[in-house]
This record gives sequence, C-alpha cells and structure tokens, in this order.
Amino acid sequence: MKLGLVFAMLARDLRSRLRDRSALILALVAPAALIGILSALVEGPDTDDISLGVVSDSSTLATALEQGALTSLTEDGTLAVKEYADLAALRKAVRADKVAAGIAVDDGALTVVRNPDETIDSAIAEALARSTARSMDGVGQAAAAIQALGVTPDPQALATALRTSGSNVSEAEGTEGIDQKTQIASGMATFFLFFTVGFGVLGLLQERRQGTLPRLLAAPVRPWQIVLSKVLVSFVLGLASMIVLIGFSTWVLGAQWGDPLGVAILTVCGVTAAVGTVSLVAGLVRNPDQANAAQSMIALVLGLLGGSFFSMARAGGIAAVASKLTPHYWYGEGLVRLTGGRDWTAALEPAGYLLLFAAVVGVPGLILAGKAVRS
Amino acid sequence: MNAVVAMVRANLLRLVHERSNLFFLVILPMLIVFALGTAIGGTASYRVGVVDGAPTEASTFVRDRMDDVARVEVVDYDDAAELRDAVARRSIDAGWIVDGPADASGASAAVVPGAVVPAYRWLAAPSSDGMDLRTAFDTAVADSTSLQQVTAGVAQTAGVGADEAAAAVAAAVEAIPGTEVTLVDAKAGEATRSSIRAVLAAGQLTLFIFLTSLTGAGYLLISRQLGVIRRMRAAPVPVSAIILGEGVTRFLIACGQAAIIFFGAMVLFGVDWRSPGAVLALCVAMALVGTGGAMLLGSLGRSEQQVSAISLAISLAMAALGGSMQPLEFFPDSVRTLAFVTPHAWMNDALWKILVDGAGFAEVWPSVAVLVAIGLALLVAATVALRRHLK
Repeated sequence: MKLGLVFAMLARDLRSRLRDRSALILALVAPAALIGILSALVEGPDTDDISLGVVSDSSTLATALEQGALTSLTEDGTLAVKEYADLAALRKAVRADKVAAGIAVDDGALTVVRNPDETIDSAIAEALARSTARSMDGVGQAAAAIQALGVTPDPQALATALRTSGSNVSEAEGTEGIDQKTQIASGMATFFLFFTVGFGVLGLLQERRQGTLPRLLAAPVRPWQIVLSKVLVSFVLGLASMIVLIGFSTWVLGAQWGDPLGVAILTVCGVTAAVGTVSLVAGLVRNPDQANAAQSMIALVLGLLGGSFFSMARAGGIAAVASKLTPHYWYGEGLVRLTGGRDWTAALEPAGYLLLFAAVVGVPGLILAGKAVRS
Repeated sequence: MNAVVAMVRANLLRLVHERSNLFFLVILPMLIVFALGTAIGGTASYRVGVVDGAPTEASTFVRDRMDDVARVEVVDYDDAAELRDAVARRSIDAGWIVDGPADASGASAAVVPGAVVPAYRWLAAPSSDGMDLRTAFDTAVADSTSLQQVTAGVAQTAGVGADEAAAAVAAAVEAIPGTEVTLVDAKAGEATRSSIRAVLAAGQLTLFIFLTSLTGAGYLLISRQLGVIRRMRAAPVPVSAIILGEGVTRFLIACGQAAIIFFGAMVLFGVDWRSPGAVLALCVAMALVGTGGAMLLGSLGRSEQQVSAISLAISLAMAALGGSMQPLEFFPDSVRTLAFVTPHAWMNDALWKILVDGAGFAEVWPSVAVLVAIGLALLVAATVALRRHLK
C-alpha cells in the first residue's frame, strides 16, 4: 500500500487547492481572460473590397491596361474601378480614401499611386501596372524583331503567340504557419503553467513552516512518498490547467492546435518540464517567501525569453540561443512542426527537448527536495 | 513630513538588504531591454528564404532581383521542410522553392511555348507584408521569362530558328525603351513597418512599467500583516502620511526601473524614442499609476500569494486590452473604445502619436494628465481603504 498513502496525500492537497482562489486565478482565470482578449484582437479591423482609381487616355497603353489586366479582375467582382481626369485628381482621391490606390497612364508611362495604409491594394495596383508594361513592351519588341527579320508582323498572330497561359508560380502546400490564436493561447497557457505547478511542490516549504511536515514524518510515511505526492499535485494541476485552456481556445475561440496526439505528447512533456523547474526551486530555497520570489523570477525570465510575450523568432545571437534553452520555446516549436496537417511524429523532437530540460533541472531538484524533507 | 522621509529611508534600506529584490529592481528591467532589443531592434527588413538545389540562369535572375528589392534580404535554405518551418514560426517572412526544369510540370511549358522554365512554389505566412513580397516575386519571375516568351513568339510568327529570333529580339530590346512604371505614395510618412515595430516595443515598455510597479503591493501588505502600520499609527503618524511614505518609495523604485528600460533600449539597442522628453514624462506618469494601484491592492489584499496572483493577472489583462501586445490602431473599433478604460491605452495611444506621427509633449500632454489623475485617484482610494482597514 505504498502508493495508497501517496494518493491519499494527493487527493487531500488537490481538494484544498480547488478552494484556493489564487491558484484558480493563476491556473485558469488569468490565462483564459488573456487568451480571450488577445484572440478578439487578432480578428483585426474590417477589410473592404479592393477599389482602384484609374486615369487613362486614348493610347494603346491605356487600352492594354483597361482591356487586359483590369477586365479580368473587374469581371469577377474582386475589383471596382473608378475613372479620374488626371493624376492630381487621382492622388487627391487616394489621400481622401475614396479609392485604395490607383494607376495613371500619362504620355506612354505608368504611374502607380500607392497608399501606405492599404499595402495589399497598393501591391495589386503595382502588379497590374508592371504586367501591363511588360506585355506592351513584349509586343513592341517582338514586332520590331519580326520586322528586322524581314517579315511583316501580323498583329493577330503575334498576340496569340505571346499570350501566356498559366503561371510557373504556385502556392506551396501547408504553409499557412501556426494560427495566431493557437500561438496566443499556447504562449499564455505555458507562461501561467510555471506559476500553476508551484502550488504543488512548493507546498513542501509551506508544510515545513506550518510544522505539519515533521508530524507527517512521524507517521509511517516515507520522505519519498511525501515528495512524490507533491510532485503529482503539481503535475495534475498543470495538466488540468493546460487541458482546460486548450479546450477553451479550441471550442470557444476556434484555435487550431494540430494533431491531437502530437499536442497531447507535447503537453505532457511541457508540464513535466514545468514540474521539474519548480522541483529545483523547492530543493534550493529555504522558506515559502523565497520560493514565491524565485518562482516568479524563473517564470518571468523563461516566459520572456521563450516568446510568451513577443516572438523571439527573429532574434539572433545570444538571444536566439537563450530562447532555445527555455521549455516555452520548445513547446511553441512543437506546435509549429505540427502545422500543415503533419502527424504526431513531427512533435517528437521538441517533446524530447522538453523531457531533457525536465531531467536536467528536475532530477537534482528532487534529490535536494528529498534531502530537505529528511533533515 | 519627517515621518515620511524616515519611512522612505527605512523602506529603501529594507529593499536593498533582501538580495532577491535585486532581481526585480535591476535584472528584470535589463532582461526586458535585452529581449526587446533583440526581438525588435533597429533593423526593419524582410527576410525571404530560398531553396534552389540546382540554380539556373532564370532562377538566379529571380534571386538577384529579390535581393535588389529595398529592405529585402534573401537567405538560403537546404531543404523545403526547413524553409517551411522557418516560415511557419515566422522567423522569415516568406520564401520560395525552385523546382528545376526537370521536375517542372506541364504548367511551366505553357508559360514559354517550346521551352521549359523552372517552376516556383511560394510560401508565406498570411500577412499584409507577404502580399507585397509576393508582388515583387511575381514581377521578378515574369521578367525572368518574358524575354524567352518574346523570342519564342518571334520564332513562331516569323518562322525562323531560335538563335536567329534571339538575336533579333536582343537588338529590338536595345532599340526600344521599355514602358516606365513610377511609384508615388499618396500619403507621406504614415505608419511604416519600422515605426510599428517601435510601437510594439513601446507597448512592452508600458506593460512592464506597470507590472514592476504593481509588485510593490506585497510590501505594503507585509507591513500591514506584521502590524508595523498599526504601531506607526500609534506613533502617531496619519494614514495619509503612511500611504505617502510607502507610495514615494514605490514610486522612486518604479521610476528607476522605467529609467533602466528607457535608457537601456536607447543606449544598448539604439531605439529612437523620437521625442525622449515626452516618452519619459509618460513613463513617470505610468509609474505613478502603478504605484497607486500597488498601494490600493496592498491595502485591500489578504495574503501575499493572493496579491501577487491578482497583480500579475491584472497587469497582463490590462496590457492586452490596452494595446501593449497588439497596437491599438489594429483593434476593431468597438474594442478600441473600450480599451481606454485602461491607463495602458492612454500611454500606448500617446506613444503611437510620438513614434509614428512624430508628436511631441505639446500634443500628448493630455494623456500624461489623464495618467497622473488616475494615479492620484488610486492613491486617494488606497488611503481610504487603509484607513477603513485600520478601524
């Protein structure tokens, strides 16, 4: 009945934690509220249809623009075109947000009027102008070359020969990247996880201060059983909070975490890493005050470097190395590897690093904590 | 007044004696600067990855053209999976994979009749920047094949061989100037990518000034629990003087932490605050708000654990709602209005005006005034709460 005692202690601790409001705030309320707020924000401002202003004259360039590139887009309704008298009028209209961006034909040249606030529409206008210029130039150059070869160019035949079908650029499959809601939810859930797991192992220090630890030891309970029960409390609390937050973000907010088995493996390993971290804290400090301070410090530093607050993906040098030393980084990396519909095996390498982290900090932590309980 | 000075002195001594405080006072702000500086830094460039196992003339042309685009850096990757992961974790903005002519499908043959050109697969995380990059890329690819297309067309129409057609086209390209495409911006100097990055950094400044000053709540709580405050009352020191003494200490500390972040970002990472005086004024005002909040929480709280949990939760939730994690400008309108119930929104809005619109203190002083008013109101509320508690 060695484990029976462990489970009895575990059950008692879990019951008391459920009544502890600070545990509930840190494990569930705060992260859920933050995930909710931040997810609402990524919906972003409302976008409207693409509208372009055009200034044209009677030149062939204007005809090429209006009958070539513009027609195909206006016909399927993705684009609304408004005509303006001259470049000045078009610029004024863009500045006043009447149209998102514009193209002006003037004396055989094209001017793209961009709007720094409408980057996508501006990019479309630029693309239209460049493709029009390219096909105009192509027709002109081809006609000149044919004439130089001593053949009278037949415009109809030339146009057919130069008309291209299809494109040699395609979208690569499965590159949509990690969905922003999942990124937010995982960042916040892992950040608060390192506070949540403290309510188990760090209870050892509380018991010692209250004098309940020596009394427990007087009963037929071995020190390792006490430590194990506290570790299990941490583990159960951490896992429960992660499961609730993953469920909340998936079903309420529509986050897409990826392959369930992969996420489950990552989460169990992530919680183990967090429990290892607080075990080390429990083994090193002497009283609950120090434990709280040390735990907050570690949670903040790891969260900051691991990218819970802002992405460290673009960091280079020492910061990039430091980031990779945190479990937060590897949890996020695991989710990245699961994107694009990959199966659970994609998460195994990051999960391995999480377990390595757990072993490096957790094993010495548990040995020290065990010693502290005996003394 | 002597009592206030004595309290500030005693508090500061107590603070210096506990070594773990050093972390929150100096190391945490430094670390924030370090993380912010490396994550946001001064460079405002796009990074685009490429996987090209067997470079051809056309694929090298495309690569060089992308490298020439302003603020774009092209980075090589060994395989497609590596590139995909880099885009997925957003360490690069976009990328492309070149499938050599050998693997190119029928689609590429249709682009240039009778010739086989490389096929490209484009990857980008969904964002407005990706769209700009895609336009640049499509233009580069189209340009890389346009000469081949024209040559093929000439060969077909004139009924001559490929080499003869190529020579004639080359001569025609020399002789006929291309159509000029000029780009003009209708609005000057609106939100650019680099200033938005600065705004994101500034949002974190707001978050951490408030967070670090709110941690002061625990100190007032301990003084209360140990009965120090009851004994001081017996001295007799009025409640307002106690709040003032505790408040001044916390305020000085919060200002010190803010200064480390502010100057650290400037000196170590060359962050340009554009109007440093105005930003500093906002920091000091925000430190006052944090101090007020800390005093109120310290007067109301029951246990240290509860106070630290609540202060962490409040700081982060307010920061999220107040535009510290995502610029206010990108909020949906209704949420943006709601955001201004937080002091964070007032500071972040003012920082946006300073960093993006180039405003100075003359334009943002109303925000500073609002923050000071919130800070003072919180201090008054704390005094009332503490007095009630002592009765």
